[in-house]
Amino acid sequence: MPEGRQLATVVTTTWSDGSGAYLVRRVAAALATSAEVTVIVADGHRGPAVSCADGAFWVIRVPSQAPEPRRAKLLQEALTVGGGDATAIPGPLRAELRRLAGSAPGVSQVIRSLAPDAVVVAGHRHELAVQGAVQGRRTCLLALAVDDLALALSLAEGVGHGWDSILTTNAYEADLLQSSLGRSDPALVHNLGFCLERPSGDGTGPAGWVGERSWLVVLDSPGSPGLAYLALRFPSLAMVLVDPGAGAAVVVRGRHRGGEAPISRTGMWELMAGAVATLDLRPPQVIAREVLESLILGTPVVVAAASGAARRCAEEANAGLWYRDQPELAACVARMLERQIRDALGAQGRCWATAAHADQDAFVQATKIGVLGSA
Amino acid sequence: MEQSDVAAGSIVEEIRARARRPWAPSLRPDQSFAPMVADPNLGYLHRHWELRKTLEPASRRVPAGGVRGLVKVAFNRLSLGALGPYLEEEQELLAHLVRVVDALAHRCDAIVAAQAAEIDSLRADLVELAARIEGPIANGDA
Repeated sequence: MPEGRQLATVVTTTWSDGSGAYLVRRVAAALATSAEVTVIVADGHRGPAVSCADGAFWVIRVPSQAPEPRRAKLLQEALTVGGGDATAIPGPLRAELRRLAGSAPGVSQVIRSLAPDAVVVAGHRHELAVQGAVQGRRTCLLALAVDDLALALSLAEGVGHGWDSILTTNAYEADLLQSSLGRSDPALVHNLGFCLERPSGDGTGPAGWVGERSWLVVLDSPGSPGLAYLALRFPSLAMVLVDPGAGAAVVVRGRHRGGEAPISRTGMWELMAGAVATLDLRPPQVIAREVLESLILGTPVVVAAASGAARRCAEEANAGLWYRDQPELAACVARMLERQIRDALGAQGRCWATAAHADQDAFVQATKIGVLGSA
Repeated sequence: MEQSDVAAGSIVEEIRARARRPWAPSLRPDQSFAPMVADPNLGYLHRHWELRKTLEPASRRVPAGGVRGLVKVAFNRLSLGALGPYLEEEQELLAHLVRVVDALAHRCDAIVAAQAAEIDSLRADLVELAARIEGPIANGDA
């Protein structure tokens, strides 16, 4: 290890897929510019711990149990009964919720053996058993928060265990945490912001695709009711449906649906750059990655009003429209078909996203200050 | 940042304001047509199609005395005798033309009334159809 470099450990339940994993990797990469970073992954792996190098990091996968799917529903019901107050949840129910939150008992042991200067725990829904092992070290929670129900209980416990800082990656998440923390110290929340890899595209689309200007529809389920509504209202609307998680795309025009084809991230950027607009039909995500990428490529967006970070981006950038129900979605699509409006919104989005989400140095500095306490 | 006249928030507000209004089809009957049967020209035709009244007083008038009167009476009898059948035919023709114009006016008014009723019915059907389509879609059934 080079002399003077600090040791940082990132504990995460997600490392391969999804926007959460992407964020954890980005934060770990920013840390790796000035620290030796070890990543402990507790992603439901069974069997003995395994370790390997992964780019700039050393990755250790420890045996762990994933959270039970029914925990989220139980927590929601418990909080609803308690009027949204996590402290009002009875002890036995709280214990049951903790039991269902999964476990990774090996994490404490690995942290003790690594003796890092700083520990980043990514995600707030999993019982990662870091308490005790992190005493005396700088400890940060990378919240990866998209809703406030699960947050209310998890952070109520987490704050009790003394995080040095709670890291967020966008203003929506920061506000969500600030409001959920209530009487706790709001200075705990440290918004790192988020820096995109610089997407590029000339609008021609990936090789083999038709050159028609289409709508880029980002979704995670082919049976989205919003999609059916659009097909009814705009039978000649050309769309390319993209599922970023699956890396698959489908061309759709009205009722005619093409075959599914694989698509890379750069292929998606090409489509975004040439798209009429990007429509994000997914439920709230930790970060609005595809929305930000569209904006930086000068393509306006249409998002759900309750899409959290995505709506915040569209609103702050003055570069997109948001809808509450299907008739409003149809009205948003109709307005976005007006060239003057979409050109203006696209230009505004490009300016905002370039200024707010393209500065790598600022993101690295903010991460170092948030995690290590100094730049 | 570039200056622009387009404010996303305003567009969204405009969309929401429009969404708050109950939906109604833009199709509506044209109320600007006055009934054809009330047309003043049709009234004139009804009042003036009978031309015999114009001729009769001249033929029954007591002629003035003297040669001038005798000539007038002779001329009237001569001309009516020669043109009488033609004028009768023309009177009948005028009467039929007025009846046809009358019938056309009634037919036009009936068509306009039927069209208005059809448009009203179509509007009601469209509103019901929209409710039937949008209900399931809003509930995620489509």
